[in-house]
Amino acid sequence: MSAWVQYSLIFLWLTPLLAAAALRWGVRGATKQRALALGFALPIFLVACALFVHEGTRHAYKEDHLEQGLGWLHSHFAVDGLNAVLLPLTAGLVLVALLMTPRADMRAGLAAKIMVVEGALMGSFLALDAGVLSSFVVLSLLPLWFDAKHRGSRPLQVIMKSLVVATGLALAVAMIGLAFEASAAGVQNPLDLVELTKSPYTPSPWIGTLVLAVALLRMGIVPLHLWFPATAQHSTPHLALVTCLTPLGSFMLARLALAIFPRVLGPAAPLLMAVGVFTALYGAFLAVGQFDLRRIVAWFWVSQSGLVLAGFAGLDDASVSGALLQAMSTVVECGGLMLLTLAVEVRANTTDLRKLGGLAHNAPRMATAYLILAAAAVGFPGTISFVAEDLVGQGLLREHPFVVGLLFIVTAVNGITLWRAFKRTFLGPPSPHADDLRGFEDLRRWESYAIWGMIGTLLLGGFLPEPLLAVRRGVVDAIGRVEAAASVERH
Amino acid sequence: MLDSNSLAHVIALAPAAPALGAVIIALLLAARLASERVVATVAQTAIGLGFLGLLVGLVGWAAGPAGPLELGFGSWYSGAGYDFRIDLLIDGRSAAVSALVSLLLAATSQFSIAYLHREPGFNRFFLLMLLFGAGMQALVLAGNLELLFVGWEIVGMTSVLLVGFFHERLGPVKAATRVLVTYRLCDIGLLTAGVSLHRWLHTSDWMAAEQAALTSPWPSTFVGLSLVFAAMGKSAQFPLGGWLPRAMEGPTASSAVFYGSLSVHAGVYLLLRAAPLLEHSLAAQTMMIAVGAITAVISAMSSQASPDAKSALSYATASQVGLMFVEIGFGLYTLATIHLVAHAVLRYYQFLRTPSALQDALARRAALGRTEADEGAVRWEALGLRTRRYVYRMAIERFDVEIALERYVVRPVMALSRRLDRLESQLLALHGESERRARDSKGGRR
Repeated sequence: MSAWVQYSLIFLWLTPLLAAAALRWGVRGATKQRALALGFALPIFLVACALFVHEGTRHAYKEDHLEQGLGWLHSHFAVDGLNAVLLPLTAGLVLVALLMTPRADMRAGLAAKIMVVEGALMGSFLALDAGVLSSFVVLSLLPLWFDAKHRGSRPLQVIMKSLVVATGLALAVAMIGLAFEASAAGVQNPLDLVELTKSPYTPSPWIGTLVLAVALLRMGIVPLHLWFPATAQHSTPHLALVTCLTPLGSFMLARLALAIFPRVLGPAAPLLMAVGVFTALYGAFLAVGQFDLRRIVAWFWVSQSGLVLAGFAGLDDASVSGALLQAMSTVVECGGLMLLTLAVEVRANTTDLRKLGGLAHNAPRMATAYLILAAAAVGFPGTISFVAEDLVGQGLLREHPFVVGLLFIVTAVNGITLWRAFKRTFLGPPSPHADDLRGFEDLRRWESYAIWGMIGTLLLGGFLPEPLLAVRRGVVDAIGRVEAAASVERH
Repeated sequence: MLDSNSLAHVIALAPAAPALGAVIIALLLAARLASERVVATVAQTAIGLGFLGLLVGLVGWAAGPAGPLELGFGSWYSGAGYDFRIDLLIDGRSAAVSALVSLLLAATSQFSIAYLHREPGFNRFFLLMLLFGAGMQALVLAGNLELLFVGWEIVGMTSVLLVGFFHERLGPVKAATRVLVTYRLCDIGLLTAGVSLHRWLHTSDWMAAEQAALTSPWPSTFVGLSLVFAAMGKSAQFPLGGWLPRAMEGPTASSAVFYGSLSVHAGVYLLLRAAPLLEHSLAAQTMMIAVGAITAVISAMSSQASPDAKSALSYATASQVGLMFVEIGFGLYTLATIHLVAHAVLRYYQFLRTPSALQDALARRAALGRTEADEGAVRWEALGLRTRRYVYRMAIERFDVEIALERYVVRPVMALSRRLDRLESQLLALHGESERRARDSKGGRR
C-alpha cells in the first residue's frame, strides 16, 4: 500500500472530526460555518474519489476482501472492495447536504454535527477492528441524539435515546464477549477482523446475533424501524439525511455479520429473508398512502432496506452482488429525493402533498430531477437499481421463487408511490389549500450541479455496472464461502 | 452482401439512432440551446437514420439465407452464472413490426413539427417521442425477454409522460396516473414470466425457449398466464382497459402513434413473440380467448355510446385488439400479425384525423346522403326501450368494471396503508406524547 493511501485512510475519518471541533468551538456565524465545512468536505470528497479510482483500477480486491492497513492505536484501517465505493458516496452525500442546507438552518452547530457524522461513517467503513468499528457506529448516532434533545418531539427523544443506548449496549456486550472468547482461543489481537478471519476460532452465535440486531436496527428493518420515520419527520432534516440514509447497516451486515459470524448466518438466513420481504412489503404499503413527502422517502427507504436484506439472506453470489449494489444506489436515490423534498419544504414551507401541486411550472429543473431520481429508485432500465434488482431477482429465483414474486409486487407499489408523490407535488394545478406558490423558485445553480451529479452517478453506474460489480467481487466471494459453510452445516 | 456483423450494426441503428437523438435533445435542453428548428432537425435525422439502417439491414437479411437471424452484441452485465445478453432477433414478424414502427415514427415527426409549432412542450414531445421509438424498437427486435422488458419499460414511461403532456391541467395528470398504475401492475406479469423462464428453461432467449419449450403443464400454465396478464395491461384488455380512453388527454400525434397504433399493440406483439410457449398451456389460451372476446364486445358497445370521437376510437381500438387476442388464442398467428399491422395503420390515420372528425362526418353525410351510423340507429330503435336503456347505461359505464376495480382493489390497498399508518402512529405515541400534541407544541414554539 503506498504512503498516500495510508495517510488518506486516516485523513478521511480524522479530518471531519477535527473540522467538527473547529466548527463547534472556533467559528461563529452560519455563513462562515458553512464555508469552513464545505472547505473541509470538498477535499475529503476528492480524496475519497481518488482512493476509489486508485484502488479500483489496481483491482487490488480480487485477492481478498481484507487488506493489512496502517497500524495505529492497535487497530487497522484499510480500503477494500466493500468500502471503496462507500467512501466517495458518503463524502459526496455530505458535500451535497452541506451545499443544499439553507443558511438559516445552519444554526445550533449543524455543520459540526454533520461533520461528526461524516467522520464516524468514514471511520466505520475504514476500520478493520471490530471495537473501533463499533465505537464509530455509536458515534455516528450521537449528533442525532443531541439534536433530538433540542426538538419538541417527546417520542423522538425517547426513541433516539433508546436507539443510542440499545446500539451502544449491544455492541459493547458483543465486543467484550468477542474479546474474551478470542483471547481464550489464542487470537493475539482479539478484535482485529483480519486476524479473526484467518484464525480457526469462530465466535459464539450470541455475539453474532447482537451484531446482526444492530445492523438490522441501523437498516431500519421491521420491527426495529420505528426510529427511522420518526427521525425523518421530526429531526433536523439535513442531519437526519446524512445519518439515516447511509448504507452503514448493510455494511455491518457484510463486514461483520456475514463474514465474521457465519455460524449465525446459516440458520438465520431463512428468517432474515422472511423479515426482509415483510419489511419490503410493509414499507411499500405504508408509503403508498402517505401524504407527507418526507415520510414517503423514509418508508421507501425502509422498503428498499427489506429488499437489500432479502438479497443478502439469499446467500447467492448474484443476490449478494445485487444487494450490495442496491444498498449503494438506494443511498443516492433516497438522498437525492430527500434533498429535493427539503428544497421544496424550504420554498413552500410544507411537504404535505395536499398543499402542493403544479410546481413544475415554476421549477422545471427540480421536477425533472425528481422524476429521474424516482424512476431510478424503482429500477428503471439504465440505472443502477435496475441492475441491482435484476441480480437480486436472478439470485433468489433458484431457491426462493415465491420471494421474487413478492419483491416484484414491492417494486410495482413503490413505483406507484413515487409517481403519486411526483404528480401531487409538481403536476396539475396548485392545490386549493396551498399557500401562494407563484414565487416558488427552481433549483439554484449549485443545487442543480449537486443533484445532476447524483443522477449522473446513477446513470453511469447503470449503463456501465461491470466496474462496480468487479470491485465487490472479492466480498461476494467471501460471502460465497459463508454460503458453502452454511450449506454444509445444513446437510 | 452484408456479413452478419455489419448487418447487426446496421439494424442496431433502429433503436440506437432515436436513443442517441433523445440524448442529444436532452443535452441541448440542458444547455438551453434547443430551438424548435434544431430539435426537429435532430429528431428527423435520428428517425431517418434509424429507418435507413433498418431498411438496409432488412434487405440484407432478406437477401441472405432464409429463417430467423439472431444478432449478438455481447453482455450488458453478468454475475454468478447470470448474463444479461443484448441480442436482436430478426424474423418475419419482427421485421414487419419494426418497419411499421420506423415508418409511423417518421410520419409522426413530420406531422408534429407543424401540429405542435409554438407549443410550450414542443421539445419535450420530441424527446419523449424519440425515447418511445427507441424503446419500441428494442421491444420488437429483442432477442430475449430481458431486452424486451427494457423496451417495454421505456415505452411505458414515455407513454405515461405523454398522456400527462398538458401537465397544468388535472385531467391529463390523473389519466397519466391511471396509465402508470395499470402498467406497473402488469409489469409484475412480465417480470414473473422472465424469472420463471430462467427457472424452468434456464434461458429467456426467444429462439432457445422455442426449441426447449415448456411441455409440463404447471410451468407452461404459470408462464403463459403471467405473459397474458402483462399483455392485458399494455393492450387495454378487460378488466384493465380503463386507461385507454383516458390516455387520449395527450396531444393528437401521441394518441395516434402511441395508443392508436403502436403502444397498444405491444401486448399483442409480446403474445405473438411468446406464441411457442403459450401453445403448451390450455389455460393461457383459454384466458386469451375469453379476455379478448369480452373486451371486444364491451369495447365495441362502449365505442358506440361514447360522446366524443377520440374516446369512441380508443374503445374501437381496444375492441380490435381483443379480436387479436382471440386470434392468438386460436393459434392464428399470421392472421393476428396481419391484423396488427393493418389495424395499426388504420388507427394511426383515424387518430390523426380526429381533430376534423365532425367535418369528415358531415362531408360523408353530404356525399352519401346517409351513413353507417344511420343504419345502426334503425337497428338500435328495433330493440325495446328498457333493453336499450339498460344496454346504453352499461355501455357508457363500461359494464361497471372501473367501479368494481376501485371498490375491490384500490380502496382496500389504500385502507390497508392508512391502517398501518395509524398503527405506526400509535406505536410512536407509546414512546411519549401523541404525535398531534408534539406537532402542537412545535407549532406553539414557532
